[in-house]
Amino acid sequence: MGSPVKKIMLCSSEKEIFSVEEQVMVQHSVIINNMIEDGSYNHEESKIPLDCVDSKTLKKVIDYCTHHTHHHNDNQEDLEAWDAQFLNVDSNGLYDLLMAANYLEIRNLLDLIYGTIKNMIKGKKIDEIRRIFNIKDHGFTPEEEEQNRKEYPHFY
Amino acid sequence: MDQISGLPEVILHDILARLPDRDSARTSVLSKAWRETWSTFPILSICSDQLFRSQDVTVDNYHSKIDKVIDYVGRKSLRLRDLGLAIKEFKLIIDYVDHKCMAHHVDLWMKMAIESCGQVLHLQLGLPGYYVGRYSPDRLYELPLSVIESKSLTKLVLMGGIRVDQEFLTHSIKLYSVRIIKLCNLLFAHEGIIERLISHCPLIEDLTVVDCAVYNPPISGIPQVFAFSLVESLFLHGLHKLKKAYVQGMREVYIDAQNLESLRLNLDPDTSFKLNLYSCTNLRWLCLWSLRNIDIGDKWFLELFSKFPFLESLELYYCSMFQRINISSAQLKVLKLSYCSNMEELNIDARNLLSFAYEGVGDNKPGISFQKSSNQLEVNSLFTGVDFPGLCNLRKFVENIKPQKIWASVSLFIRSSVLTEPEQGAFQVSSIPPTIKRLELQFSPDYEAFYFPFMNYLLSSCCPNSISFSFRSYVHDKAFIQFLYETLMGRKEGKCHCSSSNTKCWWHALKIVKVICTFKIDENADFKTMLDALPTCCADENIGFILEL
Repeated sequence: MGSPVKKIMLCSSEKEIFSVEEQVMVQHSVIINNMIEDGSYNHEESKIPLDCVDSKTLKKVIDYCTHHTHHHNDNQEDLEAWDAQFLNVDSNGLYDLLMAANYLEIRNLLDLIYGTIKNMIKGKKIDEIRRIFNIKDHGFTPEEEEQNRKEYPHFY
Repeated sequence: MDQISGLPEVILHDILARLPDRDSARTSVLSKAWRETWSTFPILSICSDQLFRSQDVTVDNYHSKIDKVIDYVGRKSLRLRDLGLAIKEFKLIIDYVDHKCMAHHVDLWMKMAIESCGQVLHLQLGLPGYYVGRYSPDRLYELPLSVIESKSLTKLVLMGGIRVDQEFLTHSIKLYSVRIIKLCNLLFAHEGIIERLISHCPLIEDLTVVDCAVYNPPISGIPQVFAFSLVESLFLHGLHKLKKAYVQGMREVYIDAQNLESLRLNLDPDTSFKLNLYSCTNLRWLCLWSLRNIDIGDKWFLELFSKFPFLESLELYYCSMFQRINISSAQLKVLKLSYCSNMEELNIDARNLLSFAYEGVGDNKPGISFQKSSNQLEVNSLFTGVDFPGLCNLRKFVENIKPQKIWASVSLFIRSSVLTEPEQGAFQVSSIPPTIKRLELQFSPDYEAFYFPFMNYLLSSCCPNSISFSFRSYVHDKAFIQFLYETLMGRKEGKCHCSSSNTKCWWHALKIVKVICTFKIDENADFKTMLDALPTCCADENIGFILEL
């Protein structure tokens, strides 16, 4: 038997505690890696408070890091399929994930989400993007909107 | 407000920076919030085709179109300056420049970008026509000296329609941070300016110099056209950080850069040239074009591999070769021979070779043999301009690849073909052709009458595990794809040669024909739906069939 897997505690904004393999988070999150390295995390009593990440999002983030730690040898296609399934969330879910990945500095998750948002914009017409982002009120006056359409007809 | 629009500005800027310019510009009219984000986006990238299309430009509307660009850039750059924000990147790509009405604006923008400690400067001015030398120097934009005074620039790209004057030979250069330089189709007052510029960039890692010319001061009586000549030589000394270089259109190249890893040289094909790379012992990737004044043979390869012990990838295009070539190298991983002349027999002894590519025109098909090849070796052959007799020879080409076990890793690519009426009964098949990995068509026949012979010739040459149609450079006709599909599915009765020969066509015995495509479509879509969803313009997509006997 090998030595027991080292765990760390993460605490969501709802004060729910998640116990995760240390290696999983260290590998992916720059912030947590720094905390472990500089010794500011004490394995006996510390919990890392993540006040701006709710439980639902934190669970997803942990899922992501765990999968990518244990399956990094999988073939690219399988990983991409898993990622696509993972990011099959509404735009609010995507926002929460992006903020969490940004806060924890999880570079590859950030890249993945940036790529997804990029694809929501790329090659699309204005009305389509507004629908995808759920922009109900664009804030332009009817005159301004008219002016935009006149000035940049190829955007619409 | 919707959540995505409410993301912090730095994150939105990060996303905008990943989008093509046209798409990022479009977000400026999505909503008020996005316009605000756009107006503080520190990458100022203007491509005239965002604002108008070149083909819509006429003599009458030219000035109003250009005014639109001037107004747009002016507003954006002033706004960034007023907010105290740096212009991190300034990129200006304009077709059809009349520099007289723009030069002072461009000067001003460049000044702003440089003064705000910009890192990337990309100036690309298109003039109608191709060759820079045809224009009188005063029609070109005069590069301001301030460009070489920037200590913050890390990347400098100058392309077309730009003139670099005599003062650049003496003015002090402060490009201490520049890592990437790209100079294409520029006009210099003196040949020495390029070398001086480059030798004053101590951190340079990536260098491109393509088709630059020198103009000579006009002498009365001699027409302007003759006052230009291509920059003939490039001597680069002591560039310790240089990793990557691409040089085109010179006669003499001397590079002393001990850390150089990647080099692409397109030499002037009509002249003899000199090439000296003695200290570049770390070279890993070498690509040579148009080496015509020597015949490349065994000795040349031997010397090359001993001079560059780390060379992993070698690509030769349009070079003149010996008829019989032996290549022996333990370090080589990638070898590509493209449109090289004379070659009839090629023996490759490279146990670490992972990829070998042969590209040729029509009938030029050498016999290729491998010794001690790796299990992972992939062989890709592309043929351009194949006619019906050429298609008949495809089988011989595959069968001449030795040893036979390599066949399973061969992919054939057919680019364009010159199809004229096939000779009746000229083609007889006596046995099942070699099984290969893949057949990719980058072309399909124009006339329905050629569908059958074309397909028949191809499938009689090889028995591929998959056939695909690439839309990267050519838009296929739906009808031919459908024809091939129906033939493979056994729905076309007909004129194949099994009736008159003892051998049955192998494709009658196919058990499984699975259609796959790279474009997005419902996974349960039938073949007809896929056909309707085919790309209608060139796209990086393909559709294909996986075949199982």
